[in-house]
Parts: sequence; structure tokens; C-alpha cells
Amino acid sequence: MRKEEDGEESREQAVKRGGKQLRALHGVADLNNGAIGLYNMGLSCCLNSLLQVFFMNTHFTVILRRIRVPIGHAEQKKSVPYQMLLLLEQMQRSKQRAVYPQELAHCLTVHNLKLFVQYDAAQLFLSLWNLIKNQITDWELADRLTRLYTIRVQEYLICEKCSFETTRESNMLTLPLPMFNSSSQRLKTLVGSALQQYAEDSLHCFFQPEQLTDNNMCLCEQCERKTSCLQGMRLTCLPQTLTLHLKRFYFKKSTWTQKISYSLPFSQSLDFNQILTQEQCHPDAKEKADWQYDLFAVVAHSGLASCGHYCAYIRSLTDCRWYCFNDSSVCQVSWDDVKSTYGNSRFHWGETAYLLVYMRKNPQ
Amino acid sequence: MNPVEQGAGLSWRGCSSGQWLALAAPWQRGAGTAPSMAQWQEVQQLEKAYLDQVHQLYSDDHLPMEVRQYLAPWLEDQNWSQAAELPVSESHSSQAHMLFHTLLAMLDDQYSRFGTRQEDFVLKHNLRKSKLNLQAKYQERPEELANVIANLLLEEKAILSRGHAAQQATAPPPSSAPMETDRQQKISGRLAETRAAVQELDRTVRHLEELQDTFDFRYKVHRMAEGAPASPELARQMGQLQVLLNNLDRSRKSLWQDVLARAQELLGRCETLRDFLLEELAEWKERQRKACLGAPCDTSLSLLETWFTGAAEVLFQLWRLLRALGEQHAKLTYQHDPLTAQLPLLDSRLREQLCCLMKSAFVVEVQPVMPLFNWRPLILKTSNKFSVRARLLVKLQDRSHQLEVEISIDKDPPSLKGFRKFNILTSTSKLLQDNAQLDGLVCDFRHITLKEQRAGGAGKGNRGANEGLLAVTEELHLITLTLKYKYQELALELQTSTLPVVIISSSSQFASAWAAVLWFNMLSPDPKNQLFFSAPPAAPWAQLSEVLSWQFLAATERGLDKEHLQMLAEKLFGPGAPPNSALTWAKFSKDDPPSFSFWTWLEGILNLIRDHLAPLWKDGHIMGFVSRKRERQLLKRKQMGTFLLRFSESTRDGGITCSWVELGEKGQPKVRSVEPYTKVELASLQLPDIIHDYQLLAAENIPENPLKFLYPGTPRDQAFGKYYTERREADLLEQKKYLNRRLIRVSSRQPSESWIPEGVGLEAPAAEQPGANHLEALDVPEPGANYLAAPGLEPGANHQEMPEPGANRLEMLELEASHLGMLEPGASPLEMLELEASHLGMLEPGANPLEMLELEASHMGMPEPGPNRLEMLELEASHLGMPEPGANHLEMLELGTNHLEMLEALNMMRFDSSDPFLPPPDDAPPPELPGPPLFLAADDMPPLQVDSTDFQ
Repeated sequence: MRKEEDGEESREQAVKRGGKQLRALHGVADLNNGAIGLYNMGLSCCLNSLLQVFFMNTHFTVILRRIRVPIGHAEQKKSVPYQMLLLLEQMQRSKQRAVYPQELAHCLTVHNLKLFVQYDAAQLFLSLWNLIKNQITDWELADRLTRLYTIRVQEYLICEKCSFETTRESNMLTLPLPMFNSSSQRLKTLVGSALQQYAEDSLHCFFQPEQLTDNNMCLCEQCERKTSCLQGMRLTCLPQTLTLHLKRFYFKKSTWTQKISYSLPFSQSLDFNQILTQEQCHPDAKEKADWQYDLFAVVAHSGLASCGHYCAYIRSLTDCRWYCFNDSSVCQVSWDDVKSTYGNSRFHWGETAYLLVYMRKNPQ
Repeated sequence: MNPVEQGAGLSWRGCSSGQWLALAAPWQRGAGTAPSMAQWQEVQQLEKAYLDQVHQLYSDDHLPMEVRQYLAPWLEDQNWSQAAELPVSESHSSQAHMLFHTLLAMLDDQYSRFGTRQEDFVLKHNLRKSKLNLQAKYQERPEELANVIANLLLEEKAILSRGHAAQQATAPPPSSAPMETDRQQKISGRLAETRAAVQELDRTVRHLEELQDTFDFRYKVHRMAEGAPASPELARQMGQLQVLLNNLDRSRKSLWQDVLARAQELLGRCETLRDFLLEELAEWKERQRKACLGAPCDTSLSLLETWFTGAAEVLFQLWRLLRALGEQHAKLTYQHDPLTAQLPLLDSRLREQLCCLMKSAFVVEVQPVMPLFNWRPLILKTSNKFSVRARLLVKLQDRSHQLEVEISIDKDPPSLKGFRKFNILTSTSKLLQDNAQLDGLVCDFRHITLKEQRAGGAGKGNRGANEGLLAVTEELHLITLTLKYKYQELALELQTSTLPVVIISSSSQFASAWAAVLWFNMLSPDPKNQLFFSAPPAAPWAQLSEVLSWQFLAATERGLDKEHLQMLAEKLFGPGAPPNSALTWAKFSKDDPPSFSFWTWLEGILNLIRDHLAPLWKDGHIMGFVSRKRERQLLKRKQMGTFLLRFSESTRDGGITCSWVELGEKGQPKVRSVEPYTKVELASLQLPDIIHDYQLLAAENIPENPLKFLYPGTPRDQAFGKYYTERREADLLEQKKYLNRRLIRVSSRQPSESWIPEGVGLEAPAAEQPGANHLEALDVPEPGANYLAAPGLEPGANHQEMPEPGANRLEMLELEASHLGMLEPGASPLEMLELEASHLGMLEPGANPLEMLELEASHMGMPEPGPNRLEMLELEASHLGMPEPGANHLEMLELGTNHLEMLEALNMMRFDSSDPFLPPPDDAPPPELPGPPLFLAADDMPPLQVDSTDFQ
């Protein structure tokens, strides 16, 4: 507990410091040079989209710009954060509409993220983020990166017989949100607007405890036998950059992956205080007043599960306009364009939101 | 860069050098694409201040303005920034070089076009000079020229946008133009954007083709040279060629990349556009549904057609571009070519969008309607002609295929017992044509009819056996139109369905069929649900009231106002009902004899208004829907003689009544109403005339018209004057053979009748009994009409007092045309009053205005009942002080006790006027009191034979 409090304190300081730096760098990090596209190096639209989401996030670029440059040419070539920084610099200097991320792509190949392989954006995000985090040598900086992105939850298991509770703290990079509820019914929205709609909203469903019975029964330490129990999650801490992952790719019993293209509307802002009930928050959770978010980016997928294309809709933090990053093509778009990624069951090839990145509202 | 590295994955599929030659005028291939106004043209239309800026721009002599002028379309069609940007090797800059030489060639071409005229001479000189200058300046650095031109074009654009912005700021938007909604603006903006984007893409693809051709040509040269013996010179050339090839290849690859990314981008934007369009179309469909129910909605499709056509053009152009890319890809590909993976993806995505767009663009513009009943669509009567019109909102100019539309009914009939099956007769297919008159690509089915399929071997009496689960008027049928669409290489089957229609076989089902149409289109979320009436939902009042108002609006041009709806809501749900009350389908439309449904009642009133009361209703003189209670509240506070017009709540086929306020016995205000007039009465006599001539014969009063002021206080004649039938003037002008006659119905009030003061909680039924104190006046001005009846007491005429000691009941006499017809030959100028003889006897001594009483029983053709049993009163109109100008009317008062007895007997057989629908407690006539209206059949009256000469 003590340790955590210390962490909180240093965190506050970090936020303050970060804010100052942000102001100093304001207008430098993103869109300094207009929006610059990234050429597709071979099925790299997924990587390109994620890179743009990283680069447009000033909170991330503040960290990226402070990394220690690796010593030695070979080290530099292998360092993902360094190559990302170089690419960012290249984009900001470029007189062209788009640049080739070839050095970075090469670097990622070394780390087993290959070109010409169709990646799942959620999976690639996780891999990429881990690579960046592990390769940041500065401990404090790595910690800042962790706090910027990770969601802390407490998983619990309550025995229904004796109410004995087992808990476990865990960190998550994304909240994998379901498209169906436990009884396989379609969920209608990301966040329900009224109490009665909660049953149809994905976020609520995610935090809904699940009953484990029959074959899924767990061993209760107190009862010393397998009992039916309730498994659930309590939210402890939400990061500044919150990534939600809509589980649109659906593995049926066969190996055939299907994409669920039906509509799941999401809103431009989220308030977790209104979404979660008291039991769904960890009692120690602080800064609950800060659990207010604005939509920052949408990584959208078009096409089928087997062959598709990614693009990213990002709301610039400096000029507050939406942009669509489609590999080398970048254009300013409207909220209506973002809304058309809600999905539609009539269209199998259209763009559907896959990753939603929310940014915590500014304290003011 | 090593050529082998580049060429490793290269698979050469050959190309002809002929394509290279085609490069000479690449811009010509672009003809027929963007018809948008050229930039240079727009620039020239700028205001002076901005034109100066343009002159400034061209003052540096980087590019002479005449070059800009002569080559305007071509210059604007090239991708100069790309040419300036592309990575170039030392000796050759592929694209910039090519553009530079094309430019010079085009200047030469322009030069040769000048004639030998005087003024041309200077132009020729200038152009020649310009060309030489350009050549000297940029020969070595063509990319610099590309850069200059790119920047000039950009600057022009900037000046243009500044100029336009200033123009818009000074000129306020025309106020007359209909306000565009936010979405409509977005759609127009989005269409313009996507159109520009696809043009841009088109240019890039053409450029890519050019690069490809250059590459092909050089590659061929390279291959030919390979066979030649090696020499240092050749090796040097080969090296150069290799570099060029590599550069070309690289730029081509990044262009491909770019094209793909932009195509993806464009498709994404088109998806938003599609969403906008679908929303807009859904709104149009909603409007059409409402318009079918009579709502005043704009159902014009022209804007939607423009948008759909625009969107389809963009998508089809993109489709052509993708195919062009596909051809390039087929010619040349390499390992990890992005086209291999992305083209099929793009193609599928685009095809899906196109299909969706085309499918939603096929709509039913005019829902099925019978021409004879065109105010109520969606009701079809078997073997009656009807029409339906489909329209394709995508109207492309270069259609080459004939498009045929097939019509069918109930493609997927619901599996419901007894669901009737129909055939569409005469023709079931028709061509989709560009109809200049209707301004659209339409398919107009006319003169088609429906015929029911009789199940052949179903056995006898199959109607009974097939008795469906749904009533005939609740059975919904769908007419489907199918279009086999073909455009270029796209073949699609487009389908659209009408709103469900109700098929009837007899006109008597018309009203209940319309109730079903109303209910369905008001409440069904799914416009194709044929089983809607298996479990029809209840209608929330808010929705229902709106639809009801439309019914009046459509039939009479005046809807229902808040007060009307308030009364209807109270009638349906009782007073103080919550605003979210809902009415069930059964209660709305199901007659339960002897009572009738809400809809039957309302439909009766609608018909009454449409046929007889349209101008009065339209001008707002009929308050109409007002409860008795409210009516009393309103009238009580007004001056005596104030009246209003109200629809009867108890008359099945629509009835209208007058209620007025008068002084009661104790001086308190008293509200009275007349028996409702129905279409039977109104067919012969207009309501304004009835009001004008209305008479109240009360025992103790002189007859007078109690209707003086139309609520709230308009004098009667001021309100209704313009509707009165003009008869007096006609009388004056015409020296007729006959005296004019009028039929007035009289009712009288007994002195013994008790006046119940207002405000006494218990409403005495006698006081409120509808029509209890009737005095009705029928007026027939034309001598030729079949009607002829009694008392010629003009309003304001001399008054008679007629004490009626014996009668304890009031009477109303209505003389039917048939029995008065007998009077016609001679009696037309006569007006007859029928009164009881004894009354007349009493009148005789004192009634000074009555001068002559003539009794001629034999002339009346009646059995002589005795001198004082039947008396004839013959009155000279002038003596009665009647204002009738020049009328030497005779009036005959006739009464006989035996007649009165007959009347009384008939009284017992009065019409049951209890409200079968929802009897409000204060509205019910007491059962023990006979209702007054008496309709005498011809044989109830003794034959009257009156010779006009008898009275002269």
C-alpha cells in the first residue's frame, strides 16, 4: 500500500512535469508538418495505422523524444523506439506527402514482425508496445510509458458457497470488448445511455461478473473443494491513453475466422463513473473523477477477416480536427466519416472500427 | 542500385511501342471526364483586385501568360508537383522531361494554327519568343519548369479561393432559395470532394500508364541492346538505361502505392456519402409514407436523383480506374506487388458499394393508386385499373442496355390460411425509360388490374372454406418491381416493393380498407410486414392525432386544431387521460353493431365535410369537434343568440348541428341544439341557407331565428353571407310565371316544457334532448325542385303568436318531396303552413296580420272533417309584412287533428338516436321521451290538390 501511494505521488509529479513538457513541445509533436502519410511497405497498412496513432499522441512522443540513443550502429538499427523516433523526424522534415518507413520495417523484421504478413491490429499493437517498452533503457521513461497505456484491474473469484474471495491484480493494455453478451445476443452499443440499455452495451457486459459452474467450477481454498463461483473484474486504474478492442474477429469452431460487421456505435466521450457500478470499481481506485475520456483515434478495418485493409482516424490533439490516415494518403475528415465506421451488417467489405483509443480529458 | 535487384521479380508480359506514340497528346484521353469549369477560366472571371494579383503572379516571366492561356486545359491536367518531386537521375528526368517536350510540341502546334491575319502576326511573334525563352531557360532543368508551373497553379487556386470568399461575403445568400439542411450541404460538399478526388486519381492513373509505357519502351531498347557486341560506349549507355529503368520502376511503384491508398481513402469517404444518401432516402420514404396518408410532404425526387447519379458516377469512374490498374497489373507485376493483394479487395469493396447504391436507387415513386380514388392510394379494387411508377435514381447518360421492369404481386406470400392470391392482368413488364415529361428514368405501369386466383379444385363454397384469419381489409399485399440492370460490365437485379396494398372487391370496403392503410403506415416499423394485422399494435394518441388531422387536411385543406384534437382525445380516452394514451386497432376501426367505430364516425364526418361543408370548414366557421359540455361552457358566457356548429357524436354517417344560447325561463342562459343535419338534408339544402332561414316556433314566442352570432361574436350574415344562395335578386330580375317557393321546416316548443336552469347539476334530459325543440327550415329556391313545403315565415317577418293549448309536445314536420310533388302544378307559388285547426281558430280573432282565412276542404282533396277541424289559412305575404319583395305569396296553414294523431303515432317510431359509440352521460336522450324527428312518408299525408287559381 505504501509503495502504491508513493507511486501515486511520483505519478502526479510526472503528470505535472509531462504537462510542462507538453506545453513546451506543443505543436511540435504532431502535425508539425501537416499530416504525412506512410507508404505501404507490403501489407503494412496495419503497422502504418498504429504508428500514426502513436505519433499523433503527444503524450507518447514526449516520451519518445527523451529516449537514450543507443550506442553503436547495429544497436541503433535494432532499436524500435529509436527507429520510430527517426521516422517521426523524417515525417516532420519531409517535403513529400508520404514517407517510406523502410528502416523501421527492417528493424521490426529483426524482432520477428515481418512485412507481407497480415497482422491483427490488436495483436500488433501489443507486440509493438512491448518492443518499445522493453527497449527503452531509461527506467523512469519506461515507467511513464507503462502508466500512459496500461489499465490496472483486480480480478476476483468469489465462492458462492462461502463467499471466500480470491483476488489478483493484473495489467492490461487493451480492454477486449465483446460483440455478444453471455447468451450470444448481439450487443447494441459500446455504452448504453440509460440503465435499461446496459444489458445491450459492450462495456457493461465486459465488467459483468460471470458465473462459473459445472465443468468450470474452481477450487475454493476455504471450502477445500470445487464450488461454483463468480468471476469478475474491478477497475483500479485507467491510463491517460485508453485502448478499447472490439472483438470483431470471431473464431468459430472451425479455423475459419469470421468478421462481425454489424453496427456498434461508440461515442466521442466516455465517463466511466457513469458506466461502472460501485462494485465494478476497486475500492482503492483513485482519481475516479478523472475517468472522463474523449475519443482520440479509431483504427478501422475494411474487408474480410482473411484479406483486409486498415486505416486510422485520428483526432489531432493540437488542432482538434479528425484526419484519416490511409497509408500514403492522408486527408482531413469529419465526425460523420468516423461514425461511418460503426459498422453495418449489410456491408461485409466496409470500414468498421476495430481499436478505439480514448484520451483522458484535460483536467481543466 | 543494381538492375538485377530491381528486375528480379519482374515478369515481362510485353507491350507494343505503339503506346509510346500515343503519349504525344495524353491529355486528349482525358476528354469526357471532368466537365468542371477550368481553373484558368475561373481566374479570368475574378474581380479586378484579384486579377491584379494574377498579373503580379505572371510578371516574373517564369511562365509567360500566353502559354498559360493557350495550353490552359492541358497545363491544368498534368501532375506538375509529381514531376517536380520525383527522384531523378542526373541525365534524365523522366516525367518532367517528357512534360517539357510535350509542352514545346504543343506550343508549336498552337503556333501553326495561327492564320496570316494582321493581329495574328504579333501573337505569333510573342508565342515564338515565349517558346524560345522557355527552351533556353529550362532545357537542362525541366523539373524546374514543372516546379514553377506547380507553384503557379497553386497560387492561382489560392487567389481564386480568396476571390470567392470575398464574393460570398459581399453577396448575401439568396433568401428565396429553400434552406438546405445540414446534411444536404454535407452531401453536396462530399459529392464535390469525391468527384475532385476521383478526377485527381484519374490523372494519376493516366500518368502511371504513361510511365508504364515509357518503362516498356526503354526496357525494350535495353533488351535489344543486350544482344549487341559489347563496347565501352554501349556499356555506358546500358548503365544509364539501367539507372533510368530503376528510377522509373521506383516512381511507378510509389505511384501505385499512392493510387491504392487514395482509392482506399476515396472509398472510405464514399461510404460516408453512402450513409448520408441512405439516410436521406429513408427520410424521403418516410415522407412518401406520410404523403400517402394525406400529410403535406414534399416527395420530389430530383435532388436525390442528382445525388445518387453523382455518387454512382464517382463509383463507376473509380471502377474503371481499378480496371485500368488491373490491366497494368496484368501486363507487369513483380513479387510483393501491392496490387496483387489490394486490387481484389478494393474491387470487392467497390462492387459492394455500387450494388448497395444501385439497389437503393430503385424506388417506387408513385405508390399503387386507382385513378378514380387518387386521394387514397394503396387501396386497389379487383378489376379496377390502377397505376404504379418505379424510378431509378441513378440516371447515367451513356446507358447502352434496354432495361426492363417486371411487376409481380406477393412474391413471397405469407403462409397464412385463406390468404388470397392475385394475378396482375394485361402486361407485367415494361421498359424503364428516360421520360422527359416526368424528368426521370421511370417505368410507369398504367391500366393494370388485379384478378383474384380462384383455387380451382378446392371444392364448392370455397369462399367459406377459405375464410382467412385476417379480414379482407387487413390482408396486406406487396407489389414487387424487378429491374435487370446492366451498365458497362455490371449486371444487377434491382428490386423494390410498394407499400403494402389492401385489395377490396366492393366499394363498401373502402372506408375500412383506408383505416388499415392508415394504421399500417402509421405504426409498422417494417414497411414490408404483411402480417402486421395478426397483432396490430395500439396507436399512441400523439401519432394518431397527427394522422387524423392529415385526413381532414387532405380532404378539405384544413386540418384539426388543438381544440379539436383535445375533444377527440377526451371522447376516446375520457377527460384528463394521460398524454401517452393509445388506441387499439379494434376500438379504432371495428364496428360492433348497433354501435359504430370511431373511424366509421370520423369517416362519416369527413365525407359530410367533403361533399357538403367544404367551404365552411375550410374557412373555419365550423367548430365541429366540441363536446356538449364544452359547448355549453363556451356559449353560456356569450350574448344571447350566439351559436356554433358542431358535429353530432351520435350520427353514424356524419351529422352537423347548430347550438345556440338563449334566455331560459328564469333569465339564465340556456343552450339548445337542433337535430343534426345529415347528408340527406344537406344534399338538397345548403347549411348556410338553413342557418339563414332557421326558425324557432315556440309556443309563447313569436317565431324567430335564434341564430344571431357565430361564436365568438361574428354576426350571422357577416359570417355566412357569402355562402347564401342568391335567390332574391333572381326573383327580382325575373318576372316569373310562378311565385317562388321555399321549403322550411318548422319545429315548435311547448309552453309547458320546463326550462331547466343551467348549472343545476342534474341535466334534465328534456332540456338537452337533441332536436327536442326543432324547427327546421328547408328552403328550395328553384321552382323546378322536387321539394315544396311549408311556412313562408321569413326571418324577421311578421310574427304570429300561436298558443297551442292542446299540444303538449312539439312537432316537427318534414314534408318529403314525393308528397308535395302533388302540389306542384298549381301550388308552386304557395307556401304552406300546417297547423292544428283549433290553434288557427284561436288565432283568428286576434291575429291581426292575418287577414284572410280560406277553407276549401274539397279543394284540398280531403274528407271534410268539419269546419273547424281543418282550416286553411291563406295569407297574403305582404300582409304578413314579409320582406319578400314583390311576392304575392299565399300561405296556407293547414292542420288537422287527425294528422296530428298520425304524427304522434309516428313519434313513437322515432329514430333511435342514442350514441352507439360512446354515450357521454349528458348526451343521452332519455328513453321515455320520444325523439322528435319525424319523416312523413307520402301516404301519411292526405292528398292535397291545390289549384293556384283558388287563391287568386
